[in-house]
Amino acid sequence: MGKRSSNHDASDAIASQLKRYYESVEQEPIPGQLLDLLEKLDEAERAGGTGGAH
Amino acid sequence: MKRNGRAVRAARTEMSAPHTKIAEGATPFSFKREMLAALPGLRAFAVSLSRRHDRADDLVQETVMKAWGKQESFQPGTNMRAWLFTILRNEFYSQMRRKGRELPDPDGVFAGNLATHPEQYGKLDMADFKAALDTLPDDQREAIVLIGASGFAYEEAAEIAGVAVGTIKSRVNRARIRLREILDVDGESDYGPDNTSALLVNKSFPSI
Repeated sequence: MGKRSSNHDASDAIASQLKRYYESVEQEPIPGQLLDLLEKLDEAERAGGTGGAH
Repeated sequence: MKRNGRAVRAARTEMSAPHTKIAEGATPFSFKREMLAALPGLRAFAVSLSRRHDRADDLVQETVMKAWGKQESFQPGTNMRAWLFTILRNEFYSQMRRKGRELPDPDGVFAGNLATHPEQYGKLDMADFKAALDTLPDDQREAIVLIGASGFAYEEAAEIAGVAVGTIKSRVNRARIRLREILDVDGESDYGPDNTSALLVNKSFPSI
């Protein structure tokens, strides 16, 4: 019985499950807070040159 | 009324147009844009690493601020994703050192969570997979995610984790073995889209 390939198949199964899991998180919407933060950092830089935020 | 609406609309387009069109001397590289593009993957890595969404979002936020603060140290043309992943990863471990582990023993959680669904026999549930992934030691989980999901080469993952390539390889291997054990996947029949239906038939009609 395909003993030779069974380890390989198991790795494939785990690999594809891992990808599916990761992709499901990637597809979640980015939290608004995070987008706001980027927007603020960008605005601060435009307004005050560098080093305005920190 | 009509004029008012039009004025508002005009003002709105006036406000948004320069933002997108005139990007300060049309710089070819936009830090913000690059960062936005990297966010989904960065966040998925953070969730995998920290195992919790709330903590992951804190991590990503911290990473964005840190990265923004030292964007001068980033060289355009080099791998922005790897750079961000490195910052996030370092932030995760330094938070761990500061706060310590505040999570319950993942093994205990896992044992309670892994449910057997007869109707899904042969198909590994995503929640079960996450529970299994979460039981891995941090360094192994990090390695298998960087290689198997984030799409980094071994060399890149080694650089992100600050270890030798061989170390990453052995961590990935140990992670694979451990996951296989936990999930009891033997590769021949337990699950996978190709095997599922055959397995279901066999299991449903054992006497035929």
